[in-house]
Amino acid sequence: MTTAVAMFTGLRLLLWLTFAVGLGRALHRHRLADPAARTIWGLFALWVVTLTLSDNPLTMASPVTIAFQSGGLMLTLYGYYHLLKPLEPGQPDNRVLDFLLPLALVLLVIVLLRPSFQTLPAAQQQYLIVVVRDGTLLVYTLAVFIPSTRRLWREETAPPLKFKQGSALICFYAYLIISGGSLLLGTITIDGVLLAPLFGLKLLVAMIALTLALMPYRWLVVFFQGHRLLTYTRLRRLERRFAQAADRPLAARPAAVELLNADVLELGIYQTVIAIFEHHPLAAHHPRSTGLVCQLEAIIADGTPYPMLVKQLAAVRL
Amino acid sequence: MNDPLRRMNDIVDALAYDLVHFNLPDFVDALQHQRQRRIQVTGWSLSDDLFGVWITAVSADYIFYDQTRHPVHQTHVVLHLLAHLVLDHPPYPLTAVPTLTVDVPNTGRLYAAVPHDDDTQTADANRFAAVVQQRVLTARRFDELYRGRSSVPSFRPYVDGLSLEASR
Repeated sequence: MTTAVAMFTGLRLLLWLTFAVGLGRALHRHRLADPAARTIWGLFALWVVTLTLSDNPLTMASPVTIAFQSGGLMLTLYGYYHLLKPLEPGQPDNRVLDFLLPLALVLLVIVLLRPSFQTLPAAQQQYLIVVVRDGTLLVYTLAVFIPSTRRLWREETAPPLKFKQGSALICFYAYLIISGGSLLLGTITIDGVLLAPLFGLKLLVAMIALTLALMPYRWLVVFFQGHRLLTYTRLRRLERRFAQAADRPLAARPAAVELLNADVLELGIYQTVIAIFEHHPLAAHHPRSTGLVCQLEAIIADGTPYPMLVKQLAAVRL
Repeated sequence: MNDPLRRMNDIVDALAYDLVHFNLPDFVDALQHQRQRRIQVTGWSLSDDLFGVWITAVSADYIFYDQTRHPVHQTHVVLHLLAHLVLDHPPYPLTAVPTLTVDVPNTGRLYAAVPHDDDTQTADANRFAAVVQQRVLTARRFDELYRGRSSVPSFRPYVDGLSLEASR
């Protein structure tokens, strides 16, 4: 549990650091002059503040903390709903969703201010707040966030942004589980043990996913470099097989250390792709390479653009 | 960077062509303009082990590439053959080599040399194609990875707003 708390604290610090550095750069570059930029940075700020209000992720926070945290989360996601809404042309204008969340917020404030609420035990107070919050956000998650994010993820072709949309999608799925779980939390136990810790862990997953989704692109390039190295290794294996079948020498390529340079690695991938194509006609006559040749010829017939071609060749079964 | 590669980078620099926005027809146009000589690039059906042919005639250079190859390979083959032009490699004497026949549109029947194994020229041409492609790939990789430009137009303003890169 101590490790999880430390991890949670570390994530919060990372998030604040990301936010502070990013906002500083955005201000320096006068990016906030643009309304879309102000919207997205406003949402980022709300999300960071909301997460900072969280206590220990493995236990339930005090009712006051939960109330503030819930209000912050609801405002963040209501802002995100308004961001996504114009991106869905052709969808019927859903007036219910426009008013549902503000009404829920008002309801939450009324509930919190009622004298009878103060007399309830803390566990029931927590449960009531969570019911209003998650009951509302569950509707938005199912009706808007998951379908819209899934569409954006499918349509996106820029690798880091596809990764970010994927992270956001995981985040919403995690939230879906948390919301459903939170609503049942008041009644469900296994052998008398409350399920709160499980939902806390899912909150961690959601936090990691959203932090990745908000991380600047340059920081993500490191992850893609590893993936490109793996792609290169697979392509080299394929080239070796074709060179053997064509009875031609395997061309020399940059040393492993040089491949850490992204430009050298990209060139190595390109040269390997071309070498595979050039070995192909001779390899086609080799009886043991029939399976490989068939796979390659299907790829050639496809005629896909270069990025997809690289993926297809790296996926060839040896 | 070793010397042959540096020399090739200098040659590509001297073309003064914007490789960030590279496309093959445009690149061929630029070379035609620079050399004041027509370059005709045509897709053709060539034999299995022949990817492309460069034929130099009196008024123009003809480049034939095997149109049954993958488009990426076709581009590479054309770039490789254009490199022979740019690098002023001497055309191979037609009478001294095994020949293949190619019907050149509006020119009648010509004889063209099959590719020979002049390692220096072939290596130089490959190096030229590699330098061009490296610049193109670097530019596109930069665009895809570093600039983080969304391919979903309606979402782009928000992504750009969160980007830490210079304004565009």
